[in-house]
Amino acid sequence: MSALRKTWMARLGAVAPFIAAALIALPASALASSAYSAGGLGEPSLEEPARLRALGGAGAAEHGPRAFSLVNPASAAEVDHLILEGTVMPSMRRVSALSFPGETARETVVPSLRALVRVPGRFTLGGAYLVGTNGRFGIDRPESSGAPSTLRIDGAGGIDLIRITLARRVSPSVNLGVDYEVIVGSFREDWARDFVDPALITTRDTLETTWERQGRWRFGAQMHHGTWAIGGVYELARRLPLATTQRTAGTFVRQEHKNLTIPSGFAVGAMAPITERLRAVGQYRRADWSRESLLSDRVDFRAEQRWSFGLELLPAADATRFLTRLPVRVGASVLTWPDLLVRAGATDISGGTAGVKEVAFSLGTGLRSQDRGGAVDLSLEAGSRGDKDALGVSEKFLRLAISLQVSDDTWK
Amino acid sequence: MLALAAALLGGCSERASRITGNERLLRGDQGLGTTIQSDTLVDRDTYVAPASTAVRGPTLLVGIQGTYESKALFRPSTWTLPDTLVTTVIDTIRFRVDFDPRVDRYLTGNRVLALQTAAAWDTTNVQWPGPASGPLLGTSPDAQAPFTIELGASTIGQVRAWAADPTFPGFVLSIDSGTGVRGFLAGTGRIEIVYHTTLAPTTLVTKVTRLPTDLSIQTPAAPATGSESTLLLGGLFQSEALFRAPVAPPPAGFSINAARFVAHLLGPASPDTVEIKAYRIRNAWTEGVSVDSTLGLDATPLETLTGVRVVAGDSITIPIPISLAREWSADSTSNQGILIRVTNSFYASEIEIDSRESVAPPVLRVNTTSPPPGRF
Repeated sequence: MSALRKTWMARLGAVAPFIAAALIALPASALASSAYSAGGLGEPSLEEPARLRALGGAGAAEHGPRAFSLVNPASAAEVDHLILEGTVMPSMRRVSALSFPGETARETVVPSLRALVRVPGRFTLGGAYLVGTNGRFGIDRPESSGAPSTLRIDGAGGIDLIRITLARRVSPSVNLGVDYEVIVGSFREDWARDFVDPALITTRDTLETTWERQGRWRFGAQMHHGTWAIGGVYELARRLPLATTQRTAGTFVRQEHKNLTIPSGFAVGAMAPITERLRAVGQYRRADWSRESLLSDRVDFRAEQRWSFGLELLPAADATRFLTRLPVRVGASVLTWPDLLVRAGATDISGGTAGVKEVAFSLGTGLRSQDRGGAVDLSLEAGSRGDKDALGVSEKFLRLAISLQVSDDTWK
Repeated sequence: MLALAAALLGGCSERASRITGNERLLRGDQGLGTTIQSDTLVDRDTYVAPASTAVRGPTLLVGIQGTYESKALFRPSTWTLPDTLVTTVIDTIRFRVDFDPRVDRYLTGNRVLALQTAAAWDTTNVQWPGPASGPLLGTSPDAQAPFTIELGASTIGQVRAWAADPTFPGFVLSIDSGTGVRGFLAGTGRIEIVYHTTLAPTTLVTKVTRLPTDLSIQTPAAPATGSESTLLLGGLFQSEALFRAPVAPPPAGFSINAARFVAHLLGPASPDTVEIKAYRIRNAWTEGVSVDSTLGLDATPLETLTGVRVVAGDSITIPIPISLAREWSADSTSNQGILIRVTNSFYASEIEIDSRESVAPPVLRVNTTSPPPGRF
């Protein structure tokens, strides 16, 4: 096994400089979230920290004093400190289009911030901020409809989530947890239309989509024995009255006739040892988005599904050299976005829709502090999504996630 | 990995960064919003003359053109006379004023009269026909430059009497017959006394008395009835054209991007260029309005068009500030239209514009843009 780990590390060390060089050499000409974020709910965001992202995002069965998942509230039951954890994620995407030159986009997001603390009664109380979807996009394009103009659109926002977690280890092998998740955020687009004719004043429109900030419950449970574990989560649905507003000079239009229903969903996962130091994790997660989630002519919905699988090679207990003390994680995931977007060339869903499928491979490692109280984890994900023929654009992406975890023994 | 992180994070600071022509933006059957143009016929138009018949400015006008007649008034503030302590011989006394070449198209060689005004006048309130004329002081054809009317050496006694009279009313310059209008430069009127002393008979001395207070007065224009098929703008009468058109509120969510009055020019074609200023009208008016003093004009023009050249068959476009167009669309009662005025209009020919009673009526041209399609 030591030979296997050395091989992986060697590969990591060999590949990383080339990837870094490629990233530096690529032109940075776009700043946006996914090109698909111009419609629908935006790019779905995985809330997990880098350690679990490197395992494909499979965290439903994750448990331990410092090894926990944001997917399953029960996974925080064994936390015995005050723990703060945050993740920052620079990413790069190469966008290919049917009739426009390809472009490269770079951005940095913070997908999650979390705080957990052990409270009396052997409960763990937590709070977290998560990005649900990222609706950021930017577009410059010429328009010839009516008076010729250049259109500049800045899209921002998305669905954000605030989770309050309460978890408890109810028996040596059973953890239970509950989240109360408040769905916040909004979508905003600023449109500026500059006309070729100087007599025409620039048009500025602001579109906003907001919803009532309401919450829903999420329930999680885990069973574990030794290094085996299984976990599951169930999320309740929540209907949110939706309001859309459009502002331009001298006019304001507000509509409140739609609802956004965050659907029920679930996640199940397992963790199993393969050898003494190698473990495998897997997870299936589903949110039952459907046409009734949000009635619109511009987007349809299907169930959001994510299949995740990962392997983690732990360092040997007697490892002394720096590289041999690093864990090595690899993973893969397949994600089907909930949005069924209008096909390229169609003007609404009556002209046909197409979904976005995302395949990603990941690897990562991490460093734990000398006192075992803090950690820095890294993951690198590479993947692709979308069908250019169906949707007009496709993307390849590279994401680096950096998570920092700190704890305070005084709260033990 | 650290190198990788550094590379990625370094890229985050770059800000260029758009996705050009994102094909994913097609949304709905409205496209991305369309800008359309629509014309609304004016519902009121006419032309008026300035309320005052006094013309103050860089040019003094003297002449007759059809029903138009103007004359120029001058008055000295202090007199400069030959010294009386030495023996002087007056050679000549003359009234002089410089031509303004910008008003010479009406030059027909008429006789110009210089008269003494018989009554006092002030620059603030004087109106046509102005003070009564007094004695004729002299005449001259208008073909000399500088324009000169010889008063004769014998008038020195009269000049001394004018100088001694603090209520001296001044002079008036006019023509007595024929057709023609001549422009003179304001501030250049003067009385010149040329003399010599007996001790130096060959040395001529000129004493100049400036006439710094000057202006023109002109006959008022005949008021328009409002039913004319032609609107008059500028010219000697300084006619001002008025337009008013409703601005319909655009549909909800639409924005107004431009508004301008477009009027068809009948002529006459002219090589001259003029400056046209547009003013907002605040007060309600009808097409029977005869002077601009009742319109409640803003002091500051909405728009100034420079270098406007009249080409028969062409159109003149007067942009309306977008904020005003939006105000008019939201509150029709505030929409009283605009007045357009030619600056120093006597430099150019009177401009004729098709009115709403013509076959090519003025319109208010408004561009609106439909709202962008929503996200959902």
